[in-house]
Parts: sequence; C-alpha cells; structure tokens
Amino acid sequence: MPPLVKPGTPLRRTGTEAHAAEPDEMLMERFVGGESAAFDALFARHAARVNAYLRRMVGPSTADDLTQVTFLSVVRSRSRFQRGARFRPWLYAIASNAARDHVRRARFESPSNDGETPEQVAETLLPDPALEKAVHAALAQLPEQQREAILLHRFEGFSFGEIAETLGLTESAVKVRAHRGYVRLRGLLAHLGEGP
Amino acid sequence: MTAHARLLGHLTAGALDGEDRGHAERCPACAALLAGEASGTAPVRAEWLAAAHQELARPPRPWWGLAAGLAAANAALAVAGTVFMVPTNWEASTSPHWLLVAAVVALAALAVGGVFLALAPRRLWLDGALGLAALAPIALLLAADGHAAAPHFLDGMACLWTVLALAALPLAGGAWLLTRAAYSPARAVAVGLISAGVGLLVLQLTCNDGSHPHLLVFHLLPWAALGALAVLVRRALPTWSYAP
Repeated sequence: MPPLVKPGTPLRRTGTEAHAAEPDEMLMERFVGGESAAFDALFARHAARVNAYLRRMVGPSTADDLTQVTFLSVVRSRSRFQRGARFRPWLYAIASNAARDHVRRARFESPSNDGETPEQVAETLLPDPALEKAVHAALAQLPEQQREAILLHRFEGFSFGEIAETLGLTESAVKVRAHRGYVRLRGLLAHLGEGP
Repeated sequence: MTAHARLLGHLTAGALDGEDRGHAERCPACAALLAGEASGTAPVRAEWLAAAHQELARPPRPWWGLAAGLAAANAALAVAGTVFMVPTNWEASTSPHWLLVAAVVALAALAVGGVFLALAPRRLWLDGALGLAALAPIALLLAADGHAAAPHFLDGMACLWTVLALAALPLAGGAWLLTRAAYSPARAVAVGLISAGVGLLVLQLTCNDGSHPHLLVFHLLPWAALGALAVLVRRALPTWSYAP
C-alpha cells in the first residue's frame, strides 16, 4: 500500500510553509524560475481537490493515476504556463485533458466501455446517504462536456469565465453546456422530488 | 416543498454563488451535499509527489527550444531539397517576380515560422498558424502562371512524392512535439500542414508547371492530406504532457 498523506498536509515543511501566503501564480512563477519548493506548495494546496475532481470525472480507480499524470504534466510543461495567466484554470485544464484522453482511449479500446459505471463512481465517492449517491450517479450519467462544466462550476466553485479559460471555450458556450447539464440533471433527479 | 425537492432545487439551480451558497450553509440537506464535496476528497498520495520530483531531476526542455530545433530542421531540409532539385522556376515562370517572391515568403513563413505559432501554448498563436496555412495555397495559386509544363501523369506524381517525402521528417518531429501537449486536432492539422509546407516551398522554387490543375492535384492535395494524416498520427500516439 503506498504511503498516504492527509489532505492539505505539507509534504515538505520548509517549502510549503515558506510559501503559505503566496498566491498560486507567484508560486508558479517561482517554480518556472527553478524553485522546486514552490511546486511542493502548489501540490500541497491543490492535489486533493484535483483528485476529487478527477474521481467525479472518471471514477476512483483511474483518478489516482490521472492525478499523478496531472502533476507530472505541470512539471513537464512548466514552460507552457504563460506569465500573467491564472494557475487554477491551467491546472484544471490539464486534469480535464487527462480525463478526456482517458475516456477517449477507453472507448477506443473497448467501445462499450466508458470507464466506470455511474453506480461505481457514486458508491466510492460517497459512502452513505442514498440521496448523495443518487445525485452523483446522475452526475456520472451526464455527457462528458456537461459533467465537466457542472463539476467545475458546482463543485470546484469556478466562475463561468474561469471554466471558459480552463476548457478553452467562450463563456457563453460554457453557460450553454452548464445549462443543458443542469436541465438534464433535474430530469435525472426528478424522482427525488417525490420523496418525503 | 419537500426537503428533497428543496435540495434538488438548490443543486440544479446552477448558480451557487453568493446567496445560494449562504443558503446551502444554513440548509441541512444542502449542507449534507456540500459535506459530500469534502468527503469526495481522497488522501493525497506521497507517490504522486515522488513521481513529480523524479521528473524535476531531469533538465527542463522548454517548448520554444524544441520548436526552434524543428524550425531549423525544416529550413535546412527546404534548402537541401531546393539545391538538390535545382531552382529553375524563377527563370521559367512568366508570373511577375514579386508574386513569386510573395509566394515563397508565405510558404517559408508557414514551413519555418509556423512551427512556433502551432506549438505555442496560446490559442491565438495557433490561430495564426492556421491563418498562415490558409494563406499558403492562395499565394501559391496566385503566383502560378497557368503554363502546363508537365502534361504527363508521372511528371505530376513526381511532385506529389516530393511533397510526401519532404514531409516525412518534419512530420515525425512535429508529431513527437505534439505529444508534449494535450491532444488538439487543430494543432495537429497545423503541424501536418506546416510539415507538408516544406515540400510546397521546394516545389515553388523548382517545379516549372504553373497550371492550376497540376498545382491542385499534385501539390495541394498531398499537402492537405498530410494535414489530415497528422491528426490520425497524433491521436494514436501517447501523450507525454496534458498541458494546453
């Protein structure tokens, strides 16, 4: 079993503590400049959330691998980060690209396989309330593009502008995707409204 | 309204900013769902960071350095191809000289400068590369004098093979560079057209046939086909980095 670290725990105390108050963009600038401790701080700050996002996108069994790939990509492509750009949309763009590529390749290798079933995703994400399970199972049934927009908006707290930056779309295109996703989600969860 | 219906309303409202978030904090059902967001957070694995540190030990290779290498290789290949095939179109063509020069400049900009535009992280630059690619065939056709010097099919095939052969190395290098960023069909098309642009440039200087059917079938058709091929090649290759 690989070693686990509590979410948010600084992995290299000296590096992360020194950078605790710095904005992501400044840390990234330092990292691009060759300061690896700045990367540790970014990792400590975002790894758990990125993993949670990927779990919702592709399911838990693949999310861990994709989280590793996401941060590997940050290291490998640090020269592609543009000065003045925001870090979080860039990071989630990488995670979204990795998730999309995984789904595309899974479909290519086995046309009937879209990754894990919605039930599998929901079960491992949320241990108890049936309601939450239903919500996440419904989320997992959304088309990838709509799910991506809703997860970033609803669960990661991104503004539509940030989502547009992350996905390389216009803000209005993101709004359309999110709106369609929410409408579909409402349909999928309509039966909940009939409960107690 | 039932608790479930209320929760559903908050969830599907699509706008949990400000007021909605405030309500979600007070509403037990919504609080449960928000807690679900937190419970979805898995423990961070030290191996993720270890892998990143392993990667950090390698010397960084910025995209612009690699792009410069490919651009230099394209330029060298174009010069070598032109020298080998003898540049005779300057004397043979009846088109105005400035048009020939403009076409060569447009094609050289595509085959060499286009590399930077296509591989840059900015979407706007990629659009610039695609713009250059759109300009190239227009410049080529405008600079043609309409004179058919290679009426036989086999003569035309020599041009087609030249475009394909001269694109092989640039395409291989370009495909490798494409794996260093997330899959993007537009970027792959641009790199394919840039790779094939080397052959177009060489033929612009060496092919004496200025008829439009010849240029369309034996110069531009393989050029466009290589743009499509690049997408298929990139799709099949593993991705080294998912950065945009």
